[in-house]
Amino acid sequence: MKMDTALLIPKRGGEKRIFFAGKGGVGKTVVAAATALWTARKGFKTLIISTDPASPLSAMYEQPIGPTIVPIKAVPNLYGVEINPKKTFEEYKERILSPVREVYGEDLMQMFTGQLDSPCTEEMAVFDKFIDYVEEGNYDVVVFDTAPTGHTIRLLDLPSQWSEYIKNTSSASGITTMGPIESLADSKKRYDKAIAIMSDTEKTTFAFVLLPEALPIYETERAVKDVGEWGVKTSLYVVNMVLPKDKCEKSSFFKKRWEMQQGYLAIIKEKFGGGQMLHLPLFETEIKGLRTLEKVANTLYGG
Amino acid sequence: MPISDLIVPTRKSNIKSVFFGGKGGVGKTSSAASAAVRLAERGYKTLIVTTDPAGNKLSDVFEQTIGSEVKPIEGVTNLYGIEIDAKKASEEYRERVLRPLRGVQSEAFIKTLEKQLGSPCAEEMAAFDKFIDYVEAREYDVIIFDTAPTGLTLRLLELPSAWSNYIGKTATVGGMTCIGPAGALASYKERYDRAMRTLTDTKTTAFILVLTPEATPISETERAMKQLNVLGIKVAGLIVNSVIPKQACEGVPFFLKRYEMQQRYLNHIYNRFNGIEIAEAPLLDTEIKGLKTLSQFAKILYEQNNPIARERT
Repeated sequence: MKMDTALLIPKRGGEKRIFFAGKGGVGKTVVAAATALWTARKGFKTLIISTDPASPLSAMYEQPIGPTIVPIKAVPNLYGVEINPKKTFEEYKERILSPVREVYGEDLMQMFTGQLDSPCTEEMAVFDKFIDYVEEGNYDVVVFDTAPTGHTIRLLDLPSQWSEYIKNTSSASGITTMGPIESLADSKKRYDKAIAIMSDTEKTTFAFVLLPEALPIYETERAVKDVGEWGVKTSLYVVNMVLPKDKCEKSSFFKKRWEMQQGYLAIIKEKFGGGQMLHLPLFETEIKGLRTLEKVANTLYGG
Repeated sequence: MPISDLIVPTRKSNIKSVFFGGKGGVGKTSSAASAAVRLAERGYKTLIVTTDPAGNKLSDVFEQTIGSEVKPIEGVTNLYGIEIDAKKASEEYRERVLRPLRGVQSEAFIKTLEKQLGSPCAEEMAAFDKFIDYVEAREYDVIIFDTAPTGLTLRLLELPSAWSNYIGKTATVGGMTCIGPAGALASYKERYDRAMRTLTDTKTTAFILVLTPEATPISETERAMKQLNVLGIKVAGLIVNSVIPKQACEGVPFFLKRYEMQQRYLNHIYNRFNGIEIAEAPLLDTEIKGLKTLSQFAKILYEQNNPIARERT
């Protein structure tokens, strides 16, 4: 299938966000890094964002990338940032707590801190950080090397649930000033706006990276459905590590695996036929560094 | 002690629970399911439990519907399976917490609680709660847990200590927590503490991490191991999966190059994780699905005739 470049390129004067979803180990970062390289090379001011604590972008672009946006030296128009989930979590906690701290007593503060310390707030914090970049506006293209799952999206209205809860119980606790709590309610508006942008296929391309194997196919199917429930439509599928036929001819072992993959590629085509489908062949070396990334970008999207 | 012995109860170890961790896509389910098949074939009454919120992994790998109730797996005696459904578990859990409060507390109060108990936070909690039932189940010789991908697993494992801290902290405050009134939770804390004791007991519990010979899985394994150590959990062994057999690459420079790359990472793994049991599982020319293949894979991975392991030692 010919590549529809409108999936990667913003409309005139507009902005394009590209999310790469998929389970761990399928090559999301490689595909994201190559995509960002491609749009930057085409002249679009591009930002790539990673939340992987292993700092994969630094290895991909062969330069240190940290929690503040830096230009990628070797590639004009390309910028990168790596979000540290643990640090983001701490910042998020502080941001939510500080308005409350001014108004409420020790008791209630303790209760809020306790709730925020719950381990499932971390995902929320990372998505919250994402939203800053979803709304960015300084770039033509913003590439996310991971995407919120249906599970994360479900977490988002927790702060507004709290504000609701406080309203319900405020008479009992003798709280009269609702101002800071309203700021929790406001966060819902922010999330709603972000989800609206993510559901707008003109502004956002939601892509899945997967492998031509049974379990990854089932999992992708479920995940696509899951985000679909929030109105997020998947429009691009990248099937990674496809065995090159000519390399497999001399090895009966790999020929058998090639045949197995071909069967799954047919299933993928049938199941995810509604979106653009791209195949990325298995490379003989690891994909790391600009030279191999360039090869990946050209293979996927053309020169 | 080879990996095969780690998962089998002996007079010395009395292994009762085996956990398979590791990032998604490395072959956790294959390793866990084949271990379960092997144990059942050797006469141990075995239960395999999945806590993966992604859904029907076990049904996929055993090629039969398993579902959220314990069910014998057809085709192997002594083998039982269950897929914990987080959503369903969460509803059951919510009902259990709320029932004693209905009629006693105000309608508005119950409503707020209901909402909070419907949060994903409570969902993970409920899945863990369910999983504790199986950790403590006495009717099986061995229970195999095909756990969720790394981050999620760790969070799930961190939950008991996080929640019990929280319960301890807030029990004196408003009497309210995001998962229910503190009073009702006191008994849960005890339950989690008991579960944690089981998880950290190397005589009865084996923790195995699965990875592939590549850069990212190696660094994720290091991180996972560190985080488990913080919780007092020691990793007993590693399974390095998808190792390309050399003879499959002969005469094809393309695959030989990948083979050599893997071998470099394998050496790195043996150096980096020195002192931990390591088993290698070969890439097969078929998928690891269905009882026959699972049993074959288990023979290679968990028996002494592991050809690659022998070659290396």
